[in-house]
Amino acid sequence: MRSGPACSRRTFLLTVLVGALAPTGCSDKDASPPTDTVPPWLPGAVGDVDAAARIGRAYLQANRGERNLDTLLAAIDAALVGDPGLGGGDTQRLLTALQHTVRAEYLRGESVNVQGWVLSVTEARVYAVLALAADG
Amino acid sequence: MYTDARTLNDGTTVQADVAVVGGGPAGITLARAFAGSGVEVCVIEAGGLQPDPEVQALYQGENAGIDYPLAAMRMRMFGGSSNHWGGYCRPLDPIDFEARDWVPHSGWPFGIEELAPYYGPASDIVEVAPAEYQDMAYWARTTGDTLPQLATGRMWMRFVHFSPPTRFGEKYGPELERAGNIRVLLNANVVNIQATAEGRAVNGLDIRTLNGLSHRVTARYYVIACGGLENARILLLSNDVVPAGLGNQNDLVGRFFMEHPHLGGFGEIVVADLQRLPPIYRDRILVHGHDVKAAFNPSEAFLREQRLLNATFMGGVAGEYRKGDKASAESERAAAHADMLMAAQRFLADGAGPVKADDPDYLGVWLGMGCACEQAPNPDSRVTLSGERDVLGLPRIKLDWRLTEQDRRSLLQHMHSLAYEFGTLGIGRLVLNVADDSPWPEVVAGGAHHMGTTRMHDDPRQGVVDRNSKVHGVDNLYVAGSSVFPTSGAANPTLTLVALTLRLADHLKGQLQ
Ligand SMILES: Cc1cc2nc3c(=O)[nH]c(=O)nc-3n(C[C@H](O)[C@H](O)[C@H](O)COP(=O)(O)OP(=O)(O)OC[C@H]3O[C@@H](n4cnc5c(N)ncnc54)[C@H](O)[C@@H]3O)c2cc1C
Repeated sequence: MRSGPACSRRTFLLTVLVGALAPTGCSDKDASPPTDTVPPWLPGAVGDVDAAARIGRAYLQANRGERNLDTLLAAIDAALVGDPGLGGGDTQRLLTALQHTVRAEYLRGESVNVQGWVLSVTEARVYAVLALAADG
Repeated sequence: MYTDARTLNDGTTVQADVAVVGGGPAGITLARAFAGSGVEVCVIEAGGLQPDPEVQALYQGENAGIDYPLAAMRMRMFGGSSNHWGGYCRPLDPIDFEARDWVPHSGWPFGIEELAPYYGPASDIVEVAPAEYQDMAYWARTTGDTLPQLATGRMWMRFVHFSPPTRFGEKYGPELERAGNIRVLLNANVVNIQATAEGRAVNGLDIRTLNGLSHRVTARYYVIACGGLENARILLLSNDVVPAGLGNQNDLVGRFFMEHPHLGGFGEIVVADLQRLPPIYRDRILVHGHDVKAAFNPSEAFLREQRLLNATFMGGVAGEYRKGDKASAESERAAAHADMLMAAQRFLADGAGPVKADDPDYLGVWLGMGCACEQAPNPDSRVTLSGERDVLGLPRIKLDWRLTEQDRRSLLQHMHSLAYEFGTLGIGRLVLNVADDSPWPEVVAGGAHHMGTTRMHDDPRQGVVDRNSKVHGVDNLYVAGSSVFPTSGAANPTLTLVALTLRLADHLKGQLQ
């Protein structure tokens, strides 16, 4: 069983992620449900989905083991830092948490090189999710 | 007084208290320090008041290492290379003076506190006073901008001041001309430093002109101020008494040549919202009559923790992107920049809307980045004499400039730091054009900063000059200029060499009393 905050954060992600299809609440059942749906909030994290997907493809080419939506989403989920405490609904909180996570990774120097770009790992994975989604 | 050595009678001897070889920033600064005093100074300058291709050709030489345009990287005329310098000024950092156990051969005989009293007057001389090189709060107040504090601890901001740039010959020549105690001998090439039989003192300088005359200058004290490459050459050429060259009894003259490797185009940073990057971080700002610009430098703590060499980074806006513009359709690099700006827009700008409300297609800009880094002192990076000769019949200079793996690794770490700082602040994304595991790029260039070839050390087995810039073992011979720097730091050298020269002038005044 995952700890409280991690559980609620994951619940958060998945709630928005799979919408009505996903069970809500914190239970063993929803701890790691398989999904092949792109979280509806995620495209809102980038300025342009097509551009993000192009960068994401480059990331996936260098990280073939991550060519899987579940793997990527689990990694993003695990990286999301604590509740930012901002209001504005679930999506807004997730977007803010993602912003914080990405900045925190730069702060710690947790980066990947994507065709020369020095990117936060989570940021690159967000682009990769959008690449997988675009490519079906 | 100016005297053209080509117009003197052949075989003239000029006498002075202090003979200064070279009329560049170092030589002129030294001579000025004696202006109006009772000390007779003779400045011996190879060039004239105007550039002359025949004189300049004496600077040609041979390359054995990294390609280096020896004649283009310095200027043989009164005023020296200040006739075409860029004017970037910043003092060395305190850590640059330290013996660092991760930097072989590092350490000055003194700390920055020894030079501190001279940096102010030196800033005056290069016309950047009042200068404030590091206080962020001062620059926030002065510019009226909020200056983002770097957050990772890896880097900090420093402030480069731009000299007009001072042309030392034009600016200070008239002062020397007017001073009753200073004679500037123009078109006079020192071809040999004549030492006494045991090589323990200098008793004269042999001079040749390009119209075939030979003269001599004698003095109580001699100061070589021919620039960071030529200082070594003239000592090596002066080998009639000491066969290895004057001051070269320990085979150090010419070794440890250091540049500041400049890697233009190592990477670019894209920035969506320029309001997040205040003007002084990306542009030269006119303050108190001269330009100032912020530089990104590794912090002292990070250098220590990671055991790295120093570096300086500066950036400037190089282009702008808009959705669907021609540049991004035609160039791979522009397309990649535009993609990153579009993808990362939410990370780099507030809100979900366009970055500029009145311009929905605006994506942002890219910054061209320049870097100049410290290279570790390396005995194999060196100046020797070539087999080729110049028109005076003297062996030309041969430069074997070398960089090491340590230099490259250090620089790459700092490039990543820059990416992390921009990422942490949510200002930009950096793309690197150099791979982590690549060798030094072919296109590495120098900044015309010539350092280390007559390095300063208290121990004659480790340095050519002592802490007072006196050549070890030679009682009355001194060296001025960046050739005495034992390490280079990452700041442009002229401000520091002017400060060091003022310190040398004080020392000589003490000696002359
Ligand atoms: C293109 C360029 C840009 C630069 N930009 C910057 C910058 O932005 N910031 C910075 O700090 N530095 C810069 N520099 C470096 C700066 O110009 C030098 O650090 C400075 O000029 C060194 O001063 P110096 O007096 O030691 O030597 P020099 O300026 O080289 O002067 C030496 C003088 O000695 C004379 N001489 C040489 N040999 C003999 C001889 N045998 N007999 C008699 N006279 C001789 C020469 O004619 C010359 O006048 C730049 C240099 C160049 C070339």
